Amino acid sequence: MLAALELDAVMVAQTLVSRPMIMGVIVGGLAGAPALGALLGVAIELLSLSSLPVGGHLSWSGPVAAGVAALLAGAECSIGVSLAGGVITGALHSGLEAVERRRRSVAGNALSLGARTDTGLGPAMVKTLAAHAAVTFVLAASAVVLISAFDRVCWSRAPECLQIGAQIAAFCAPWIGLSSVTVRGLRRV
Amino acid sequence: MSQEMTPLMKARVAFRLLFLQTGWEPARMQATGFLFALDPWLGACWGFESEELRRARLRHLEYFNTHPIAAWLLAGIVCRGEAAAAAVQGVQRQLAIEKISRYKTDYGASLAGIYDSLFWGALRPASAVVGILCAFLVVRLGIRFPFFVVGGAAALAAYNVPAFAARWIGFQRGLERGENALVDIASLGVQTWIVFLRRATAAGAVLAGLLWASILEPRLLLAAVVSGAAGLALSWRGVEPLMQAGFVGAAAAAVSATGLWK
Repeated sequence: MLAALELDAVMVAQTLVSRPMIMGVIVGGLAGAPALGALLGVAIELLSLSSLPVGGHLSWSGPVAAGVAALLAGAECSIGVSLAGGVITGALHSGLEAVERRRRSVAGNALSLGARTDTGLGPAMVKTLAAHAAVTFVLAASAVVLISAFDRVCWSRAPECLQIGAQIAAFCAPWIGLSSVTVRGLRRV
Repeated sequence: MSQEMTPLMKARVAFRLLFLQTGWEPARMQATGFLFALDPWLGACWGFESEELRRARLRHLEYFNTHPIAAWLLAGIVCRGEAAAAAVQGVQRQLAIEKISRYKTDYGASLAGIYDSLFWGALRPASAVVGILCAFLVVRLGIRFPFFVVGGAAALAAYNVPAFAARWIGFQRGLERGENALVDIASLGVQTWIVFLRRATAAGAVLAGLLWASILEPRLLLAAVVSGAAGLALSWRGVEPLMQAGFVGAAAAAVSATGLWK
């Protein structure tokens, strides 16, 4: 579901059904933690609103971050680890997307030779979508398995001050995001 | 316009425009997606001249980039231009084809600037704040319905109703009025909408913060106020919100290590 919804972020339609606050609700709902998923989604949405998807700009992926964070919350990971794990996975996803885009340049060159323009565009688009969804799925699934294991084995033994720090950062994230949105709104256009 | 686009053809091109960015790549950006969207119409216009059809496809594989919603307006203008080019011969055809390339390169970039500011820079944050405020309203009014469903639906509607209207109207206007549709855009006063939306979003964000604060216990309220105030100062200085969250986490860990916060 996460991988399918994420396609909306850049590749299909951009209806914003993939936006973090929606992704958090849907994936969180499927993982059994809709309210927590929604809160994490809102936090990630507000943190990511300052980066605009303009031109070829790739910052960390908010939709992947929210989906993974909601899945981690559903797997009963601590809220700080869920948020941080989601953001790290979102950053990794952007790195992989940059690699995918470079690979597509090669496919584009083949298209420009005119060899595939008669029949190949539709299937090529479907293949591109499937490959991207597969990358997202594998990355998100690996991240959830690894980060939830880290939470159980390592994080529970980490110094208390670190755990509190991560928890406070997660709690304060929406406030920081709201402040950022306020400042952006007040700046001159 | 020399060849009328049937409603079915409009629907086909419009549906395919949803996949504009599927083939996004650094060298040509949205060119593959744009060609994919236009392909049925190119077939209808140039189908009787197979070499011209091949050339038309190759032309549209050249660099193209704009905002995904602005692409609908440009697609309308380009479709009209392709039909006009196919209806003439010789030098006139060459001039018509050059005009199409110019629409894409010249207007693509300038429209992207306006649409990016309106849809990504103003409407996207505004719709997020609308969603958050609606969710709080459900909680505060004690309505027995999941707040996150209401908030999510409100955010989606607040973005998509204007966005889909802009897509469809842009496509139609482009088809009907060609280049003149750009004059219509210029007369809309979009800059005023952007300023209004951004100010309203800032006010909505403050209201959402106050509503949220009203349901917190005192200790968490303190953390919220401190992080919100620090966020205002740091955001004003251009520090990324994600980095600010990292600072807050590190500061909280340090304070906790001293035993002041348990």
